[in-house]
Amino acid sequence: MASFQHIETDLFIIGSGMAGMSAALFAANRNINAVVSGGAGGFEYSSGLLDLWGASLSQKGQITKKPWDMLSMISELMPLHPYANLKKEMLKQAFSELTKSLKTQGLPYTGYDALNSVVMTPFGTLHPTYRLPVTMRSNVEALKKKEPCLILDFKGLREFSAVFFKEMMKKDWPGIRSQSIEFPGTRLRPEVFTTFLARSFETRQTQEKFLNLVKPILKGETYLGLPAVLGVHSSEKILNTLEKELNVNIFEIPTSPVSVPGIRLKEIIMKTLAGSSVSVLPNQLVTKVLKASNNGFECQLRSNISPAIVHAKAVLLATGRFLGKGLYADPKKIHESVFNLPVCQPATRKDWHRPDFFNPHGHRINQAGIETDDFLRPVNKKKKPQFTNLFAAGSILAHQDWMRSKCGAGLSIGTSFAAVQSYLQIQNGKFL
Amino acid sequence: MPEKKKFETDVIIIGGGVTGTGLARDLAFRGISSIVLEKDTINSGASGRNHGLLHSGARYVSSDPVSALECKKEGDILKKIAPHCIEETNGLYVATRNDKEDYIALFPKLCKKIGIPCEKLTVKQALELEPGLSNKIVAAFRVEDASVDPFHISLENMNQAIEYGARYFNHCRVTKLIIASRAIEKVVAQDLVNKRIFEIKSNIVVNAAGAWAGEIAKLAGIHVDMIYSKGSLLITHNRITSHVINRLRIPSDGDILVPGGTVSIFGTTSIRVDSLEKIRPSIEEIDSLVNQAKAIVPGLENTRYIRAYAGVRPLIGQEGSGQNGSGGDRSVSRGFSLMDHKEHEINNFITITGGKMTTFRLMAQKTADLVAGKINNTAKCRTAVKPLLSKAPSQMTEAGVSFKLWADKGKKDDITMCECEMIYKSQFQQLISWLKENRKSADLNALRIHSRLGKGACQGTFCSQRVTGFMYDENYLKEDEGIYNIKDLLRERFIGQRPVLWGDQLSQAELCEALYCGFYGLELEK
Repeated sequence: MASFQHIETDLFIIGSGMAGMSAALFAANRNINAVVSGGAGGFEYSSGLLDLWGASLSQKGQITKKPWDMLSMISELMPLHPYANLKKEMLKQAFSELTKSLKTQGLPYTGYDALNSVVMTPFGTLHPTYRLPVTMRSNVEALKKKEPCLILDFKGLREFSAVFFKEMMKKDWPGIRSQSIEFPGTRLRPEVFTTFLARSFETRQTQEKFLNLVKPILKGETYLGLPAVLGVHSSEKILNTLEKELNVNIFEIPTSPVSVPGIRLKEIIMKTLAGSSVSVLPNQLVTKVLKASNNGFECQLRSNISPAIVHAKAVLLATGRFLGKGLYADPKKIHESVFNLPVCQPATRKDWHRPDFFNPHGHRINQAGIETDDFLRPVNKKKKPQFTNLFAAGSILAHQDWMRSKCGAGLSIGTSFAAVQSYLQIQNGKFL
Repeated sequence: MPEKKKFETDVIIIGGGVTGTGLARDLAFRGISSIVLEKDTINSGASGRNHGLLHSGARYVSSDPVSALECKKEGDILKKIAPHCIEETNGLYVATRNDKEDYIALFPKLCKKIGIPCEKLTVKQALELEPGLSNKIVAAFRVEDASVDPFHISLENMNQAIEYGARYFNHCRVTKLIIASRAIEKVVAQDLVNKRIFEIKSNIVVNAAGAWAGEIAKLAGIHVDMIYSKGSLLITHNRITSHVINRLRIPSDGDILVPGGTVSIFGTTSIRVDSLEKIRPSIEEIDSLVNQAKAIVPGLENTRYIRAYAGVRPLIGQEGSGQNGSGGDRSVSRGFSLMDHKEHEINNFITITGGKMTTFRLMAQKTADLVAGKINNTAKCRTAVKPLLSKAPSQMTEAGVSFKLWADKGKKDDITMCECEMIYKSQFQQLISWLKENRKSADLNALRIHSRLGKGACQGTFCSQRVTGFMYDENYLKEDEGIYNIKDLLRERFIGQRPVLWGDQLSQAELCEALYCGFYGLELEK
């Protein structure tokens, strides 16, 4: 039998996506002794935009620039939504604490206090978001001003076509132009990847070659847009260097996976956690729960190198939905993967999805998930907490559809912040 | 008002399924010109919604010996003329202990009597050939089943016919049949893309509209008693067996597993429906199929399914069956129905319907004979001897083929656009140019029909946006056309995925929604 490494901790955060990693950061900032484990974490699927709420509740089918107005309507329109239980101040605090930490490590975010910003996607569609990386600041600005703009793409990069973007925008943006260039050092590579370009951009050599390529093709444009590959760890610095030397406002356009701004988030949060009270066990999934009680939990992890058992006083479940493996569906039923918690769900599989993929009401399965009490503790059928010290956060929570509401990051950041708060309150004996 | 566009041809064929396209090929070889009118695209009816099984004939030895023999003969011909569309997998017939013993005993005798090769295997031999079979099977026979790509066949039919002078109009729906002095004088149709109405004059009109044959006949005031039998099928993520696997029992639901390239197809159900609207696989059907499947191949219970699809078998009711050509050709079997509407006082109108994928060539031949007789053309049928091979790039409908083609000839600097099915940029380039030239327009759904785009595990999540971007780069798309292309493709793909969304395929669909709704917000685009 394999010998296990035993890890003792106060708070075990299961899941290393946006919710798990935000929780880890909040725990580190509060000096909580915690362990976070999970799989790849899905950051490469994340646009890097920190959405709060983007869908209008008053005008169906529209985006909104006023997220807080929408949130103030939630407790009435969607009383079961996880946001209904979060105070505006707490959400604001969560966002500002996270972005402050990101900024300290060199990944500054920007955005308005009260309003959403509208970011252009590679399809030229408009994505409302609350906080965006500063490398996308001019994306928002350029859309408003529609001044002469050059959109660049890189030969062999399948995630972004400058012509597609230009064709979508040209109708009311006459000064938009597109051009395709060969990224420095990729002549022998027919296919190039976002992460490769981003890491290459970190070098001065690539930056210089890029400048030499782009200088002659600029025709006095105010803006230069390109896919989001401006480095991983020093994107702001790269942006500033290039802007200064080209004398143009540069902006990134977030891409579909593999998404560099998502990877930046993950790597920067990991950097923040280094040396903190939170240890990270990357690429280790919980395979078995050996013990779950109000006195604590024992969870076995899968790892080829050193299989471990985590002994924790409390657990924060941030395992995500189906893609994140927090939920699992067989042909009949949806299950919660780690603790087999009750999952609030439609009665039969027939009700999971609507016939039209793009149905404006969204699919009912998206509202399935874990129901909790006010302290974000999963509840049983009698609506009582399953355990006094088990919390849940992020997209696994029931009664929300982050994809249609455009609230993915906010839901993760807000509920993980609230869950860490609840954990502390309960530790301190304020509530049992 | 602009004047209506007018066309003339010898024969109008209504329906671009395997029968209609097969007929166009047959007529073209005889020097008879034709126009195929298809309201959607090639094989959008039952021709594209079946197992892709080239029957050995064994399935019909008890219920329909005539069809059984036809299958055997036609299967042999197709294997000769279209080996590139067929994989000679062979087939196994296996019985479980719940299947009737007397039929198990009778089966090889019936095969022998009709002349269908059938070899008895021991259970051990069968399990050695196909380790995925249930070890609870009690009897096994080997037959000469094969797997066929129906899209490849129909595309080759049509393209070869075009090379011999036929014309093909897709997205054109027949709206009126104008009858004068006991004949259809002209056919009025509408181009569903630009909404224009046009007219075609011809000597003969053939109704090869499959399940829609009753509706077309009605336009001429003729009642054809159609029975609509819906059948649903499932596609697995991986290829499960190397042989076709048949349940050895009187034909029933969930009997057949057919390998096709990199996947396997399991089916079918048989449900009487009243209308041809919204034919979709239901969740109940899928659950019942999976339940049947595990009895012969237990792995089918927990394997990953990527999608399901449903078609309608065009069956002729009692009232209409057995009406043959005026030439008194009595060899038309119960398997298909050839009607000369001379009997209904319309001398130049013929309906061909029913039948099976396997016997399409024979159906086309019988129909062409009747057509030729009416216009005094004495040329012989050559479809059984001439290779079914066109110059068009139609081979990319087959799973696994595009990679093989690329690996042979591909350039080093090519780019993979679709990783699930390994389709390269140069291949799409070739296909798009061909579509532009021969089909007037190329969109994502057309690329899907002519290749494996959107047919792999990701069901269009990654390839649709890459190919759309590429189509913009090459000036094939303008303004916001790409958004509609992507939405149409994903919508279409979702219909088939919906009944199998559990396990890994559900995660895949969630990623697709996260990307196209969560990030791109396409649900908000009008």
